[in-house]
Amino acid sequence: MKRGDKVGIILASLLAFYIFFPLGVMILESLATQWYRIQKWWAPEKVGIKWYVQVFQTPEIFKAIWMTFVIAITVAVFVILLNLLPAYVIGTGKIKFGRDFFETFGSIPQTVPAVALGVGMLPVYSRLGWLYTFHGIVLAHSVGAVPYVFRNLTNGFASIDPELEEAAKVFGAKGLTIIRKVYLPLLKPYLAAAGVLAFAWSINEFVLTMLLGYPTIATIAVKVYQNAGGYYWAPHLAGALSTLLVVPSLILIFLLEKYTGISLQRV
Amino acid sequence: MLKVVNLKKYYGKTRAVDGVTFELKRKDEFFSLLGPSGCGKTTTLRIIAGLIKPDEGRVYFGNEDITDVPVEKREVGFVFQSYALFPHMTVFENVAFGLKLKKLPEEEIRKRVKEALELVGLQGLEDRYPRQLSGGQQQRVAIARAIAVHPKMLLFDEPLSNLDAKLRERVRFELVELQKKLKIPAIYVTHDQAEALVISDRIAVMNRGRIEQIGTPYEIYKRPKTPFVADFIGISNFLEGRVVGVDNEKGIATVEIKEGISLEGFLSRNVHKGSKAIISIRPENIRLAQKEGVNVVESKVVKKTFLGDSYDYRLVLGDIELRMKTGPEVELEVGQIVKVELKECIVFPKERR
Ligand SMILES: Nc1ncnc2c1ncn2[C@@H]1O[C@H](COP(=O)(O)OP(=O)(O)OP(=O)(O)O)[C@@H](O)[C@H]1O
Ligand SMILES: [Mg+2]
Repeated sequence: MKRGDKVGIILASLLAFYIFFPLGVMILESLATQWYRIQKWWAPEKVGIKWYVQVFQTPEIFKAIWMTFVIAITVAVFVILLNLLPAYVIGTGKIKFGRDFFETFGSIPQTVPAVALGVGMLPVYSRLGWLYTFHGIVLAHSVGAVPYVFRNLTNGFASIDPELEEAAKVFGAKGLTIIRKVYLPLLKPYLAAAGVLAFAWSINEFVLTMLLGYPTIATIAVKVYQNAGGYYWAPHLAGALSTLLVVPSLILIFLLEKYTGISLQRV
Repeated sequence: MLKVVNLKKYYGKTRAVDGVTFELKRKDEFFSLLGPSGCGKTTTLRIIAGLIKPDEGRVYFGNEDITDVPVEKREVGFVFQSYALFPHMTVFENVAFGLKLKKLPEEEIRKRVKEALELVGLQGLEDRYPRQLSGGQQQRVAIARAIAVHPKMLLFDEPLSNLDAKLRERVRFELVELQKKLKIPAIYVTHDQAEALVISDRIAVMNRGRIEQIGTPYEIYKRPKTPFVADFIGISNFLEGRVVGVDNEKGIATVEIKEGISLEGFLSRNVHKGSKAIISIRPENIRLAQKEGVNVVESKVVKKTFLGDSYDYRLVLGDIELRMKTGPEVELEVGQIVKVELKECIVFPKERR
């Protein structure tokens, strides 16, 4: 083995460590029920699922978990429905403009600091009476999820040979039948990817939720923040909650790669 | 029967279809649209299918104007140039697609799919997906899908382009047989002139969005109306000259192609004495001659190519080069001076372009 190779491997391991270390600490925190005091301060003395039980037994936290997933699923469904028609007309080339616009400017909500976005939305929401409402938060989360979903669905529609729609028509299909028999089956992987990304985006969204939704709408992310020092010092609960936050996303991403072959690196 | 009148379709400045008119004579006519790439064959076919709205013109089926009938109501069988098979369906599901939409009983669907697949020689591949098939097999699935629905008309867009010669001949033959059995009109798009000649009842030769000539294979081959048709169908020699005599009664004109050399040919259209003309002669219509006579000229052999069943000779007549096709028994040597008779010449007026 060449020296360069060795250095490369060491660097790669360090990088991997760097990526996974925080996750490891988080999971450790959530499982450790008792820590050694002085020696071996970094190792738990006892492990168990005590904190998870506690999390689920605390009504407000349980409600936050429930709320998080309901919002995330609503966001995913809403954003997909919202994007289907635009993605269809742009992806299939029925209209020639729009695609570049969304490619260039569509990701602004994702790149602009969420705080700035929230500051912009706050007065509007307060005027409209959307502050602290479920639909207000769904809409706020959707803004950032739109680019992922739009890009995936547009790619999906673009990947479908326009002659397939024509072939379906020639053989007597129209409207809904074409969607059901041709577009939906072929779009499935792209829909899945779009849904997972929107779902993950919503679960991870913290700033806007805090700004526009709290205290009526509290999601896991908000609770984590509170328990990790924002309001109290309860790293074990924060760890358990964070794990609950991360694990569903990881599982979904894994399933997505496995069954649709879509790698999130590409989206 | 099926009739199109003055179809026009422009894409910006491109005149994809520029005033196409034709009518099928019989209910079971096999009609070909033949022409070079980009001449508007596919566009014409898609207008007939209802996939494209023409800018102008009408489409009639029977006595009915179907120009505004949507594609899904026209009950056509269409074979797409790029197959357009549904990638998420098996061969069986692809062929059964239209039948299921017609809500035919399960039994009937299975029977028709089987028939169609047998016709194209694909039995046993029902459960494969299109991506698991070769290009030629995919193309045959597309044909099976079109015929399985027993449509009111069959529209083929170069449906055999991806098959090898043997298979092409077989499927071609069966297509015609089936079409005659179903007693439905077929419109067949191709740029392969040999295929159009064997398969068609009549052919429309297209060029730049327009029809140059409509006729039986015999007429198209023997009596081309324009130099384009003469050139596109088979091989032709072209000579230029000046008209020195016209006999409208017999439909014959005499054209001087060189000082002292005149050729007689059939008139394709009216020409005037003294005007410029083009003469076309097919290589197989140039024969060795024993004695002097009409259309007999002396020329020199400059090239000889053996083609198995024939010889391809290049002759020169001053600065004019001619291709001659003879049987394999006609042995000439390069450099030899021979007398040849130019038969079945066609005279075209030379158009100013
Ligand atoms: N959707 C379109 N937009 C712009 N131009 C088009 C479109 N469809 C066809 N054309 C143009 O119209 C002309 C005729 O096209 P068409 O597809 O009918 O040709 P074709 O005879 O089928 O050719 P080929 O043998 O190559 O399939 C071409 O010049 C083509 O570039
Ligand atoms: Mg074409």
